[in-house]
Amino acid sequence: MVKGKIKLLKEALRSSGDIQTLDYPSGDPRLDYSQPRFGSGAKYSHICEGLRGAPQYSEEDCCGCAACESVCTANTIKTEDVNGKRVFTIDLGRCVFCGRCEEECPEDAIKLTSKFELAYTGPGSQNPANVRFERDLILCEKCGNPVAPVKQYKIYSEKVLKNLGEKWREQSREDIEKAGKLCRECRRRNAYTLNLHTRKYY
Amino acid sequence: MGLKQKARLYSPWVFHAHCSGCNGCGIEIAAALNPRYDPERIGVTLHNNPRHADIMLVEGIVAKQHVPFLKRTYEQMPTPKAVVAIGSCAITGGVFKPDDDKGPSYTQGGPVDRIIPVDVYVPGCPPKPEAIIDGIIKAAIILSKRD
Amino acid sequence: MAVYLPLWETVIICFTLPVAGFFLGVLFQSLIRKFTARFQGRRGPWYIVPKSLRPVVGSTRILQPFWDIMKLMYKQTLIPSTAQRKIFMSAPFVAAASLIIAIWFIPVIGVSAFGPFEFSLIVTLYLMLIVPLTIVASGAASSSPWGAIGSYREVILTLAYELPFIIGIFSTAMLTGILTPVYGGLPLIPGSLSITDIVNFQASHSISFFGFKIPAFFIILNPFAAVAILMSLIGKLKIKPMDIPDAEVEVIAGAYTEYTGKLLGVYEMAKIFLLFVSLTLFIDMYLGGALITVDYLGVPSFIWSGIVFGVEAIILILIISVVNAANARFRIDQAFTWYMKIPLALSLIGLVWPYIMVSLAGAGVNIGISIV
Ligand code: SF4
Ligand code: SF4
Ligand code: SF4
Repeated sequence: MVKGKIKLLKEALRSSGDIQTLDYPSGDPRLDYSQPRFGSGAKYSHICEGLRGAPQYSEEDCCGCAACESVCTANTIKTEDVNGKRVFTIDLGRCVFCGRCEEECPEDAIKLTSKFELAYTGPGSQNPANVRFERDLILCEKCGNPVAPVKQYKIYSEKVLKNLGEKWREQSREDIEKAGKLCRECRRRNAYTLNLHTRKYY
Repeated sequence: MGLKQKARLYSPWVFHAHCSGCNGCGIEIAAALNPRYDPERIGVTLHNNPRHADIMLVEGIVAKQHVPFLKRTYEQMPTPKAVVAIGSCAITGGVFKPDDDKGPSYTQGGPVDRIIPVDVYVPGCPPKPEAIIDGIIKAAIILSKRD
Repeated sequence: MAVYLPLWETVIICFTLPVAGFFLGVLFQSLIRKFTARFQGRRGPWYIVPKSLRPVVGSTRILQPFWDIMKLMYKQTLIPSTAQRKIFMSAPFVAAASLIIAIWFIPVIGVSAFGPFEFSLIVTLYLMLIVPLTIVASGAASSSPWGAIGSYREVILTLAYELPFIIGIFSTAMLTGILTPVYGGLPLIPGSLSITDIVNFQASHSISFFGFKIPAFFIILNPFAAVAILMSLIGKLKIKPMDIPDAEVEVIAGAYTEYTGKLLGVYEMAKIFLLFVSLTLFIDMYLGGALITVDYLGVPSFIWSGIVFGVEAIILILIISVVNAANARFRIDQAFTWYMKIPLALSLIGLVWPYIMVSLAGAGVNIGISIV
């Protein structure tokens, strides 16, 4: 027992010169802790590489494809199509910081930052990171249902056309423009009534 | 700042209420109170007794069976008191409440702020220990402004 | 015959000493927290808060226990409806009051109101024993199962540490009477139970310790009793291996479980007074009471005394903190057996040690220690 106590005593005296505490609430979070600062403790930066913090949305880049909504594990991102607009709401209170949205976003419009001091107070200041933004939608000429967001349509038609050969480009542009005006249901119905194969429009 | 406000700001004693979470947040709270982050520097100490505590850290989705106990624990704390909801479970239900349309999980008693008033929300699943300390400091500031 | 100070000085000391004792106790408690934290590889309460945080959390936490108490004083006080109201509410005040009275009987750097009273040592022991009694009473009166378990543990622990404590204290007090006639040439003082006499004896005599001439500290004349007392004080102050009655993870907060707000604040105050009283008693009994009567280097002697008192207190606090940091909690039965084994044996050796020393000296054996 005495031997064990002496060992413990040695350990206590050793750790008194070897403080492990980080100076978190104070200090610069971006400080490089790779060099020992106090004694031999605290080799650690609280913004380390690969830290997944609050997701940051860029309204300019987002095309409104809602890919992030479909992959979001915790339903942080929700979309709703109302009055010709696609409304995005992002409630940080649900986010699990998994990074799936960043992985899937085709436009790199959403990125996980290294912001981690996210505590917010009271229902009055409900979630300062709670984002809500809108994207315009193309509405179907026939039935008025949403087809696709304007920006997404533009970007993707350009992409498709660029990849096509010279020969087909002009003809396809016409087809794509035609298809962009109708919703999926109407397109399908159209195809059957005109006795055309639906695949032509894809 | 008067003596009263100063005293309240300087010694927030916390109490950890584990309300049917997955314990991820519980481990992070334990990590936030360990020597690595040592909140005793700013006077925060953990007490196992709601009667001694000023700030309650609530974690988890508060299952239906847990609701009366959370309420009772909250009522046992003497005023002034503050509540910090830790983790997305405590704030909104998080991964246990997949969709608002389909309703919550059948065991869920609702997010914490439907049961007791919450002052500070710390998002994350689980939040970093630093984020928890940040939340405790914000709660202490709120506490010091109470009558 | 006891010589008291003039009445007005006594009255002033009666009022100022508890206040000074409270703030010194706060400082000691804060140092214990700081040292314990350091031994655990933490920082402990920030003594100098970094500049960037000062607007948010204040500039220093040296008086952290004081802020804890102030916070509790400004909190709501809940009293359980099933509690024995009178006992529940009066117990903390009785504890604090008895310790304030104990401060009157204990000389701090030689200053005391009723220290010269012939039986001040016995009065102090009784007053210090009131604290565990109030804790037991309040735990039982709170009608909480945790309080009951806390009281039960407190009773057993008190029984365990009080025996070596009292034997050790009396064997030390005997030193003033036994040693004087044998070593000859000194004014003959009978064995005294007045703490002031004990302090004065140590201040006015010196011993040769293997050739070195040092003040007659009783820790050198009776080291066994001193160690036994220190071990008992660890139980009295509920330092780590002995914090069984209010073990946080076992019995919530023991007897304090149902206490809130102001009543808990008064208990915390009592704890701080207890720390001050215990350390001062130890210094008075074994470290010469930090009393220096010569004006070295032209500096008044009371400043020297204050410095010595501080140094001795810090050394004791360091020992307590190391014990606090390096030990795991005992079970109550382990604690009882331990107290019955080691501290009791040490205090019994301490009881016969003066006689052994005297008879050795009488037989002409050189034991390296003699009063000059
Ligand atoms: S562009 Fe990115 S952020 Fe915008 S809706 Fe699509 S996936 Fe989401
Ligand atoms: S990080 Fe994960 S949970 Fe958070 S918004 Fe992105 S996909 Fe959703
Ligand atoms: S927020 Fe996440 S880590 Fe915390 S309890 Fe809920 S599921 Fe677990």
